[in-house]
Amino acid sequence: MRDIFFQLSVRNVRIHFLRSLLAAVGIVIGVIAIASMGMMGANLQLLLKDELSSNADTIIVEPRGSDDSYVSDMTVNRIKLVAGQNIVVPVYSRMDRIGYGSAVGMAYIHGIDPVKTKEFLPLVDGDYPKSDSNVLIGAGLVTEADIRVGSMIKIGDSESGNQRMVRVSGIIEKRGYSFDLFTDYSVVATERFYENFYSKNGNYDQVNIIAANTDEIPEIVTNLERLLNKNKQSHDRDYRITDSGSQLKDIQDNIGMVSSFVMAMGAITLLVAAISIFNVMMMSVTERIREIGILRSIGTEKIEIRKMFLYEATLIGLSGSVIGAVLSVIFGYIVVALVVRETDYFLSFDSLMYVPAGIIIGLATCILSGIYPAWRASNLDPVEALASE
Amino acid sequence: MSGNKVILLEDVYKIYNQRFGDVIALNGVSLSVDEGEFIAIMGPSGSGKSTLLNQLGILDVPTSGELLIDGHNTRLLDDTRLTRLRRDKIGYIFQKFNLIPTLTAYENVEYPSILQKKRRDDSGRAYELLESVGISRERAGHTPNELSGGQQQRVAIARALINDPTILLCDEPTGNLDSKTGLQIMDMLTELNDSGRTIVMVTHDSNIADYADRTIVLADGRIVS
Ligand SMILES: Nc1ncnc2c1ncn2[C@@H]1O[C@H](COP(=O)(O)OP(=O)(O)O)[C@@H](O)[C@H]1O
Ligand SMILES: [Mg+2]
Repeated sequence: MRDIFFQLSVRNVRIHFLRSLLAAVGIVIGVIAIASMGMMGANLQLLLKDELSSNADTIIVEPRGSDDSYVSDMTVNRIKLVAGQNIVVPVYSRMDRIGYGSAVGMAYIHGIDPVKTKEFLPLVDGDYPKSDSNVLIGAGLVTEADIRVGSMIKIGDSESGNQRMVRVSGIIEKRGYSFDLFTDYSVVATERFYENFYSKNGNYDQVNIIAANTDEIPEIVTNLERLLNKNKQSHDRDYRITDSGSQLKDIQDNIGMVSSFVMAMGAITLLVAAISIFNVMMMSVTERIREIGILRSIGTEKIEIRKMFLYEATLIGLSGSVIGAVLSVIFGYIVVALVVRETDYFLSFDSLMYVPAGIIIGLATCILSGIYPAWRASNLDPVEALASE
Repeated sequence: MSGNKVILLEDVYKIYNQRFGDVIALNGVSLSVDEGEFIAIMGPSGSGKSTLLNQLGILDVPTSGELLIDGHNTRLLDDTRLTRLRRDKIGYIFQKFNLIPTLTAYENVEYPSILQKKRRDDSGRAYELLESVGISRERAGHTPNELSGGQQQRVAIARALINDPTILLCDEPTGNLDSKTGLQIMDMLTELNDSGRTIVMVTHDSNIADYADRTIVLADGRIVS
């Protein structure tokens, strides 16, 4: 059956097309805001989950304060005591110039014992260094500078005279944003090469502890704090001790917070839209008091009057929400492309579910704002309604 | 036909509580109407004519007293049942026609039957009724504001008849029409009454009241003759 009350609502919306349209535009904007912000948050989280989750097992000890502070050999030995069976990786790090053919650029140079390197840096190609003139490079340098296994690269500055040619023996797998060590665009040399080339001896820039069992991490962190920082107040601690798992969680919490905040702003937009729909519906009721009186006097039940007004709110809400949802796919894609800079996850369920969620929230908002006006209309006294002009 | 009481009022009061004291709009009205009667209600302005008609049309319920419409005691029914009784037993004809502006003439006539049957009318009854009051199929496609007053009142009569009501209630049915059109409408009502329809009509025009079998005069909420 083509519901007569639906017909009446459609005709009323058509008569007051402009104001119904304006109310629907409010809903469109609200749905776009909520859905595209939800998608942005979801895409960010999906991206980070993939990029970060691989190394949630590492504790990092770094010296605090000025650039020339370091972790001494003695401290490394004490850390080893606390770490027990877990692998302790002392790391040298600095920026330096590298050259390949005629190309020159800056990159991080790390010095790590090759035995330890094996434990946490998997290769996609080649082998771990067999001598001190062998280095590993990050996968990012392969795509960026076209360096391969067997390529000869120069480390250091030719003008200062301190420059050495080394051979790339292996390519480190892409690791993304990792807390322990950025390797995608780095050169990983042996410990001995680094000590010789930069005249270093046992003053490390960072020490990583790779936990065999992530459950032990909190206890190890507590013990390291006691040992290295002697439980000092945070501002005069000598070392920063972090673990990648809790950093990951902090970041994810922050993103969650940011996207709920932005979605809350979307919700405010929707609230404004709800008020405008409420307004339109109240206007519709007030203008049609007499018509409601007629409808009631010739046998229309209260519930049917309510239906008529709720249809009207639903019509506005559904058209606004559906248009909003379609546009939010476009807007969402733009926001994700601009903010997250990675659209691989856009079509995933976690991301696209914000589109139907937006429709439902938008529609629910409209129906909720239509309830009171509909109730008002249905409870008008038929005699008084008929008498009104 | 006669002898079957379609309307029965016993000592009906309608009291409006106002800030400066109560207004007694109906002050102990008793009345019975037989099936097939044509009754005119007259009286000065403010005497309670509209209030009485609203009680008969079950748009309102009495403050006290008994009111039976086709045997149903209106004080015992909830709003939904009152509405359905109104839909099925009563046809309303108003002074201001009161057609629904967004519906065409045809849809206005069809509307009460959709309320009753919950589906569109496919019997052609709406067109038949429109034809019988002199509205062509072509005219029936127009909305009320495209029709003259007389045409609107004809559509309203067709609408009032669509659910085959027991009682036709008319509140000044010729009040907004010129005298020639008014007489045509009265002829129509007379014809309906001749074919057995019970009619209760409010008017302040004694020429119009002459069409009725019986005239009741109200003053200050009482029947005075
Ligand atoms: N809703 C109302 N509230 C208060 N007083 C009312 C109301 N409706 C009618 N009255 C009063 O009841 C009396 C009868 O009114 P009404 O039935 O409209 O008279 P009539 O139709 O004969 O002119 C009048 O005094 C009027 O002021
Ligand atoms: Mg009156």
